[in-house]
Amino acid sequence: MNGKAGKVQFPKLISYCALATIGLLILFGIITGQVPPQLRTVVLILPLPLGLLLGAVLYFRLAHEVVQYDEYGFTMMKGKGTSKSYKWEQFAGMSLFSDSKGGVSVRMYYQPDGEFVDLPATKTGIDPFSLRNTLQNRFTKT
Amino acid sequence: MIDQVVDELEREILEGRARWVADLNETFRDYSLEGQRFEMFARGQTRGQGFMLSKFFAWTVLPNYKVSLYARVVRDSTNFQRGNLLELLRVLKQEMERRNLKWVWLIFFFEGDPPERIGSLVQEYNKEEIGIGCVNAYSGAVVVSKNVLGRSLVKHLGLHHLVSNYERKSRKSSVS
Repeated sequence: MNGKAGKVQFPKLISYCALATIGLLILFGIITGQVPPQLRTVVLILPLPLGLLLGAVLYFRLAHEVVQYDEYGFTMMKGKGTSKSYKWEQFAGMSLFSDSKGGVSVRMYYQPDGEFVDLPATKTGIDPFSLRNTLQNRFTKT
Repeated sequence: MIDQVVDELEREILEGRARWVADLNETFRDYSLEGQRFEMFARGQTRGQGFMLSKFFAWTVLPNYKVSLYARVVRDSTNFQRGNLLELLRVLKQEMERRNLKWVWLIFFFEGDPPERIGSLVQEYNKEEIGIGCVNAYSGAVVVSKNVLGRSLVKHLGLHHLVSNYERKSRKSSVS
């Protein structure tokens, strides 16, 4: 039971690219106020490739989620900075949770009906059903 | 086969199969309640999560009732008596009071048609707060209680399509 999943989450990537493009468009619009009108169109096209590039860089630095798991526990990494590790033995139960965007997570409960941690499954490319079944067998054995 | 049909029900619930009647967004397996074991348990609320307009509509128009669905596999139907069903209903009513649930569905999966004594009791059941359904996991035939929640198992949850959906998907996966 070892795995690492970090599928690119395209809806999030697209929203980062769109935001970066819009931000650069506004910035370029302000900066190029003094540029001759015939050059302005060319300058205003630049935010598109730059926005896509900046959006992708920002997405991978801040929001790209990767899950790594083995027989002892799992680690969730978000972007380049944060990572949190958990051990399976910390948890008392689990469920499958479907969010409003249709993604399914494995919800790990510290106590029944108590605090929990969501392990993003479909978002990162893990089959939530097979992971849950593997863990459930492990929980019933211990 | 019967376990795979329960898997299919869970999959369909998480994909939003019940969304026209409730937003069941969390499922548990092998759930125990007062000594009664349910192979699958789903919970949620009547107010869907949605996005923008549908979220606003749900927030302004729909009541926010807590609801649950319990699925039980009956492997030995000869030993499953009316008393067992009534005991399950008692346990579920207590759970409804404890968790402040407004609606509950109870679905039985049989390896064949449900026994006559169970089928007739389910069909006669008319209390509004619990909807009951029995599924033949091989033929897909369904018996439901005659109350609104029971009828919604067919009308909104498509319980009568469950086995055929499972067979279609397993055929597709075996071909590919």
